[in-house]
Amino acid sequence: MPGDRNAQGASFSEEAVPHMDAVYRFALRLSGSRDEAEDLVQDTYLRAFRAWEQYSPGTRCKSWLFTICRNVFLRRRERSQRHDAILLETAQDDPRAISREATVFAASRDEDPEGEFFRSIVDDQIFAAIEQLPEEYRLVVVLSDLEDLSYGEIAEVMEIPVGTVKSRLFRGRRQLQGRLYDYALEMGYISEGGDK
Amino acid sequence: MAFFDSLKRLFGGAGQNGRSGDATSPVTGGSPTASGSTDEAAVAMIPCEEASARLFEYLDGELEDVSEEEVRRHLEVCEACYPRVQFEKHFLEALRRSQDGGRASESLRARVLQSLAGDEGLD
Ligand SMILES: [Zn+2]
Repeated sequence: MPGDRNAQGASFSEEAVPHMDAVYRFALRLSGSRDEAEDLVQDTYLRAFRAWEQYSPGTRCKSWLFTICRNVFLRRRERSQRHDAILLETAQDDPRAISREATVFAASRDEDPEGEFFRSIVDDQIFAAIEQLPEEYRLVVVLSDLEDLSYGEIAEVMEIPVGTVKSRLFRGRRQLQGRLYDYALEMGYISEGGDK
Repeated sequence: MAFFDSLKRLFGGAGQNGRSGDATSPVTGGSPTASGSTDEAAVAMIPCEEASARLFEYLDGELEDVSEEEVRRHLEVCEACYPRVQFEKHFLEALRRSQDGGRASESLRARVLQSLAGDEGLD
C-alpha cells in the first residue's frame, strides 16, 4: 500500500525516533562499546522501520525497540563466532557480592537504616557498578530501574518468564546494593556498622 | 518555650503518615479491634516477612491483584517495615537518577535518519 508510506514514515518519526537515546543506552549496556552500540542502534532502527507495520500500538514502542535491539545484538554475536562470548545464561556470580546480598540492609541498619547513603553516590559510580553485574542481572536491572519497563515488558524483551524477571531483578539489585555499599564505605559516606 | 511546644505539636500531630511516635511498638499479632480500617488492623493482617517479601513488587507498582491490597496496606503503615521500605526507595531513586548518562550523539542521529531515508523515503 504505497499510499500509506508517507503516513507510515511520519508515525515512525513521531513514535520510534524519539526513543533513540534509550535504545542507544540499552545498546551500550548490551555491547559495552560505543562503536558497537552505534551500529546496533542503526540496525535496530532500520529493522524497526521495515517492520513498522507489525508494530501494534498496544505495546510500548520503547519496549518493542529494545526487543529488536536485543535480537540484532544476539544475531551479531552469533555471527562473530566468538562463542566464548556467549555467556548469556551462564554468567558467573560474584561470590562476594552474593554473600552480601542479604546483608546490606542489615549492615547499615545501625548507622543508616534508611539507606540515605545511596543519595551520596555519584552517577558514574552507579554506572560502573551496574556494568559489573553479570549480564543476566544487568539487563533486567537496566530495563526495570533505568528504563522503567514493567515486569511483563521485560519478560518480552528478554524472552524469559515473568517469574524469572522477578528473581533476576531481586538478585541483581541485591548484588548492586553490595557494590554500592562497598563504595560508600570506601568513600566514607558510611562507616562499618556496629563493632560487635 | 512556646516555640518548642508548637514545634512538638506540629511533629506530633501533623501527618506522620499514620506512624505513631513510639517506634518501639510495631504492631504484632495482637487483636485488631473492630472491623479494622485502622493501621493496626492493616499491619496485623499479614506478617512482616510476608509483606517485605513483596516489597519490590510494591515499589515497582506491580502489585496489581486486589488480594494484594493487604500487602500494600501493610507496607504503607507498618513501623517495623518502614526503614526497609525507605532503604529500597533510596536505592531505586539513586538508580533512576543515574539514568541520564547516555545520549545518542548528533552524528549517530544523522546516520540513522539517513539510513532510514535511504531505505524508503522517510521525510
Ligand atoms: Zn511490617
